[in-house]
This record gives sequence, structure tokens and C-alpha cells, in this order.
Amino acid sequence: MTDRVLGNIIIENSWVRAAAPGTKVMAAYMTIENNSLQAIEMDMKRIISKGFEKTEVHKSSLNGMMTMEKIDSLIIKPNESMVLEPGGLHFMLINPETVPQKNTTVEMLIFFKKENEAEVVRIEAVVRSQKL
Amino acid sequence: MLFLIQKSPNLIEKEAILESGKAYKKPLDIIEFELIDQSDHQYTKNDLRNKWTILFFGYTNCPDVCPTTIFKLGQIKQQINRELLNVNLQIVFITLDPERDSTERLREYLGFFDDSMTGLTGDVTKIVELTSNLSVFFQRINKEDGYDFNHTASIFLINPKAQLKASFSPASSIEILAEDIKKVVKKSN
Repeated sequence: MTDRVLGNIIIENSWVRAAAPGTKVMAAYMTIENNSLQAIEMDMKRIISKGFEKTEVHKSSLNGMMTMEKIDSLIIKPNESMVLEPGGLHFMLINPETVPQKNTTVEMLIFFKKENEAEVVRIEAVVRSQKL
Repeated sequence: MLFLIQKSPNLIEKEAILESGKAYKKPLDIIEFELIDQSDHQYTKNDLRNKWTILFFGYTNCPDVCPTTIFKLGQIKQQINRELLNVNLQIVFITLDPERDSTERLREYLGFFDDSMTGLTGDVTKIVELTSNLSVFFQRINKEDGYDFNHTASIFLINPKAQLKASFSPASSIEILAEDIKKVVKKSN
């Protein structure tokens, strides 16, 4: 399913992992396609997830150890895609006003910088459990 | 920053080559321990006896890898219970973050994902004794607005004598993990 197409940036298959009441951090996943001829850079400081205090991009790694690091720069080359998925890159949605329930959606605004312009992509990521 | 280094793994003989981990010909004895489950009941080494246990460490503020592992283990448990009818398999999650993970929080967290799982918390020194025994490393990473943990994410298989029988990588697929766990259980039963 395509969530949102704006210019040449396409965001697909977005979802937020459903979480227990009282949860302080949630994860959002999606695929971001850059179908333009220019590299795009995510504007990390401007990502908005409605109903959350702030949103960051993190990367989990599982090489014997489970580690998680905050990502400060994310660039997608022309005609390439970036997959944010469990166990790897993900949006970290921090401090919800209330934890959103399953089958609702979380509105996210994701800003990108190009050479001399900026684009914002609005998506509605569905809250659901992980699928097989 | 809390920095904990556990002792080196015991030298244990490998039993069989598994795709997702290793099984031990001579299982490792687990130390006596005393923690509390999400129903506020005491949980000790004795509660590991007479059943197979999949055990892993994590924390409920971990938004990505821990829920993924819980999801995988839930699927694996269903599959094993369906296929190996005589095997009594339990899943135990031990928090590395007892400061935030109270029994109430564990009840809320596991109640959402899978209330058949057992969640354990307790005194941090008791948790560290157990992580040392199983060669689990964890490190608190302080941030501006809280903290996370880097930690050994291995999945442990405990036999009905409360001994460590095998360990697996959580990065493996559900299918591979389930096959390997079944292989070890069948061989030991």
C-alpha cells in the first residue's frame, strides 16, 4: 500500500508497533523510496509524530549484542530505497500523550532536504502487531 | 554510565551444530536465584525444573528488538506445543532494568504481548549474579532524557534439570529457531 506520494518521494508500508499501555517509546517502520535524480536527506530535527513528544531515528544492531544508536544523518541516494524494519533502522516515537490503540493511525510528518528545497511527506502509519 | 563486565563463558563442549546457535553436551548448571514474577510471586531456580524453558533478557523500554524477540518466541512456542505434545515449554523474560520494570509494569507489558510468558524482576544484584552466570553482558547507556541498554540478546534454552542446554541468536528466523530448539529438545528427551 502506498501511504503518500509527494514529488518523487514515496513512503510505503508504514506501521507503528502496537504497544502496552504505559509504554514510553514506540517504533515505526516503513519503506522510503527516492525516485528523484537527487539525493535526499531526512531532516532529523523536524520529524513530527502527532501525539508524541518527539521522534528520532534509531538503529538496532544484533551482532551478539543488542545495541541501539541514534542516527543523526540519513541520506537516500537517487533511485534508491531505504527500509526501516524491526531489528534495524526505525523511527523512535517518544513519550506518547496516550499510547495509541491497535488499528488506529499515527500521523507523521517527515521532512526531507534536497539541494535547494525541502519537502514534507505526511503519512498515517497504522498501529498493529508484527506480522509473520 | 554503569559498566558491567561478566566473567568469561565457561568452557563447555559443543554437542551439535545448530544453524542458529549451539547446544552443550555438558549442560551448564545455573546458580540458585530468587526473583519476582509479574504476579508478585517469588520465582527461583526450582521453577525452571521439570519443564523446558526459553529464557531471554531485555527491558520493556526497548521498542524494537525486545518486542520482536517476544513475537518470535510466541510463534515458536505455539509451533512447539503443537508439534511436541509431551513437551512442557515456558518462556521467561528477565528484565535488565528493574529500576523501571516493576512487577506491575511487567504485568502490563507481557499482558499486552503474551500473558502466558513469565516476566521476572527483582534486586539488581540478583539479576547481575544471574547474568554473570549465563555470560550475559549489559551496559546502561545514559541519554539526555533517560537511558537504554546495550545487552547480550541471546536466547537461552534451559533443560528440565534447570541447566543451560543451548543458546541461540535472536537474529535467526522463526523457522530456523523453532527447528533448532526442537532438535535439541527431541535429542534430550
